[in-house]
Amino acid sequence: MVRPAQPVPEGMDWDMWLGPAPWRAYNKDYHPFNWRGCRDFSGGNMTDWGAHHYGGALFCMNMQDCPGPVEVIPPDGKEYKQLTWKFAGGLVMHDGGAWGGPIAFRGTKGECPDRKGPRKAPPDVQIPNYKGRGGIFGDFLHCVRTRQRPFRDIELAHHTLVVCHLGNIAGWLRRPIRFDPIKEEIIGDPEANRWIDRPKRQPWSLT
Amino acid sequence: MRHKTILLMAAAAVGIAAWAMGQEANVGELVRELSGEKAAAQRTPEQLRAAYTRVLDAIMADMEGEDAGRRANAQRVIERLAFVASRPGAEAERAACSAAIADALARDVAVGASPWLIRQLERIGRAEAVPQLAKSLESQDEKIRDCARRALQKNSSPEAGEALRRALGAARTPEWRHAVVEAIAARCEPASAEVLLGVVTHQVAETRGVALYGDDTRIAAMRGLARIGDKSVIDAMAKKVAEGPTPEVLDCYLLLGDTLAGKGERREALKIYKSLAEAKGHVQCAAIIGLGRAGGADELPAILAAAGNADEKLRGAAVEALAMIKGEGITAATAGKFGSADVPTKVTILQGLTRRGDKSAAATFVTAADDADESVRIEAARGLGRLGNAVAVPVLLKLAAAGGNVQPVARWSLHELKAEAAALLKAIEAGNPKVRAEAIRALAMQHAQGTWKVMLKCAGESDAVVRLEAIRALGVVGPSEALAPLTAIVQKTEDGATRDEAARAIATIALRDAEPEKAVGPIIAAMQSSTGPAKLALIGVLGRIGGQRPLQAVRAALREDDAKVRDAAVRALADWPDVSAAEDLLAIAKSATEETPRVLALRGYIRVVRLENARPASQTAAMLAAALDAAKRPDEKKGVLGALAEVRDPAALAAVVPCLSDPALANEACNAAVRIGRDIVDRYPEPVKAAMRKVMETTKDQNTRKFAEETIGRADARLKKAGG
Repeated sequence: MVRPAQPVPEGMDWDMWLGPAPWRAYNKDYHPFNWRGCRDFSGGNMTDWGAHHYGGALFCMNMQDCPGPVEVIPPDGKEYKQLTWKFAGGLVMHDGGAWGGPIAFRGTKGECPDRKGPRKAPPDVQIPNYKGRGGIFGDFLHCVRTRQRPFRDIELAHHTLVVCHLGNIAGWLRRPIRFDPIKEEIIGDPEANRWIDRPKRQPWSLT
Repeated sequence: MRHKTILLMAAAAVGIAAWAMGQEANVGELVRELSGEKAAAQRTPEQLRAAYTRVLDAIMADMEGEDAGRRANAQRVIERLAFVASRPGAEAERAACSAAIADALARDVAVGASPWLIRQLERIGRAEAVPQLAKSLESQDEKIRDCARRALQKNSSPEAGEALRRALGAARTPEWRHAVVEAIAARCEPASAEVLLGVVTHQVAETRGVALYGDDTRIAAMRGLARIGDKSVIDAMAKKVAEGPTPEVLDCYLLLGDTLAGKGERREALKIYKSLAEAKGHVQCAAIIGLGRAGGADELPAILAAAGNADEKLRGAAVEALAMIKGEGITAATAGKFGSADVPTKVTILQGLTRRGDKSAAATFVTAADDADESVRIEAARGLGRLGNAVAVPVLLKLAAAGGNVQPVARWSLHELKAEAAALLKAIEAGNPKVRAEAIRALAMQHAQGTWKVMLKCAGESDAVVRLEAIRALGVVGPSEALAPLTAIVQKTEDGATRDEAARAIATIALRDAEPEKAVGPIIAAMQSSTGPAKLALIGVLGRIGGQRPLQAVRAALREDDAKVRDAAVRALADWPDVSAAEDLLAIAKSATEETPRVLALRGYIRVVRLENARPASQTAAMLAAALDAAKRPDEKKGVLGALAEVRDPAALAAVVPCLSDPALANEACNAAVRIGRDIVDRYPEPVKAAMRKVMETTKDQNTRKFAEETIGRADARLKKAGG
């Protein structure tokens, strides 16, 4: 929603803040936090907390290198109660419905967390972790020096955001979409495919 | 006569239907139809356009109005209709909706409404929208012009490209020319190649000394040409590079190479990459990668030369190139260079071969695993996880056993070689204990459940490294049948590490059991018949498993004469996996005369109360309030306040507020009160307001005061609303 125009605060370059997004007048409700709710600036909670949760889910499934889902289905009031992503390997991910925490898993042999019994000890699995010292920042600096791939490599982050953006597109259009994760194109729906990239307000461009 | 009457009646029915269709339903019902919420009537294309026009006419006043809420609702309506109309298989609806929106624009709507209408055309418009969008390109309002430019950029029809090319010819300012060139370039249409080439090669003499295009615009045009990838522009681009090889120009030239390579024009792409292979910086890196993308065996020497370069970025480019390059004998030729290479080159070669994924290179990695340099051994370990087979297993086990930075890489590679369990089992049979332990570990990581009897045998060995790893592995792969022998280990061993490891394994297996009540029976019996450290360890096991029978057994242990047994029982309750131990813990926290069990019990109580549960928040608040009463020291009370801060209930707030007047607890109490208050103020404004006022009286911290003040404001607003 476009809010009424207000004077731009002293010292703020509103034009630069807008960047490539379509022009709109300044309003205090956009900055510094609530821009998240505006489609021109953000993908809302989907690309905000969604990025953490869906990225976490893909990490747990060792699927960070997966370039994206092949189908995204919004809730339809019938078979699909939640926004659903389907991946080529057979994984199906739903938005919502988790138990015991933000992410839950259901496999052919059981669930995690297990709702049937007391909490179980986690299996002994080697989990990739930060390199160097200093958490995720230290990991990045370590990898700058050693040329290793960072824990949160930009390509992996991109894969997570593909999930988020496609979820938004299917949700906004309220129809299922099929996706080619290699070509990064929505298949068979040219108008939905227009959402893959947005034209930029002049003079912004991507080189 | 009768025949004529029938004909007249039929004509009237058709007329009525036509009239009804002409009138349409009321607009609300029409919107529901067009947005798919109810079944839509069959309509011709003209009738569809009229229907969308009817809706637009009805909402236009709101779209042009000052009321932001009504404007937003109107925008949502038209956006919803556009989304539904644009679905696959509904071309008639899409075209009609788009045409109706274009018509609305043509009727000179208010400036405020135009951008939103154009935005819909950006999403769904095709050829039918182009004439109006082209007119909007000439608008006096620069925002509308730019909206139209963006809409044409996304419009898939060739007419949109023509409109933009015409607009370029008519553009009067450098900024607008640049924007239009960007839009044309983004469309990547071969039909635009000539126009873009004209921008790139434009000479001021052609326009009487007037420079039409700045450098930025020429670069944008070059980028567009590069993305189109038309072979006809190669020479012109090469000339631009020769005239002035700026980074931007070089990037465009490289992009052209990439596009040509992607289209299969490898010979042309290779010419570009080769011409830049001696450049500097990132350009050279991109060119080397390009040699891999488009080249073959002839390009391998240049790539391998980059692999040995002092610049690690160039070495990285060589890795990418090696991963991509196609041709007979590439893997063998690359592997053949390994033996005589220096350390950085060896690392690059190994990384490249790993990325190629050609298993015929595995022997090179086996050789590299013995290299004197650790960084080479690390790459060898990494590659063997991808390229190796059974032959790689003893090599990786030896690397893992050696420790250091190679160990985690070798362990991960063993994990990746899932198919090679037989090789791991063979390695367990005999040999260096550290190697055998790594083999056991690798099988556990693979969850190789069929190997548990082998693990059990190793769990009885005299060598501690093998023994401990085997017990640990049993925790992962052991079935319920392993519980009895592990319990016997706990009871018999005199080694503390072995006892602890076995206890952990017992708990893990028992928790995995489909019938946990059946599994714990023998463990309880063993605990009750044991003495000394074994008894204490088994009490700890019961604390990890949880359940009614273990709880009763641990309660009994609380009453034993031996102080160490009582201590173990308190610790087990404090670790309990669910809230069933809460009452026992609170009782101990209130009544224990010794400090250690009292503190352990209190911390354990807070912990189990905070576990996942379905009880009402008010009940959790009451339980934590009881903990606050039992706590004696300020640090203990602070722990409870931290837990109360998570409870979204006025009872939690009521428990926190008295602590505001205790200077030792004031900070934590203020934080807790604010956290609770912010979350429940809408439902309980009065008590929250009272509590926030007390916080304002207590704290000097600016942040806390700010949050308290905001919460008071929200409470006041809620009270005002409720008061009407």
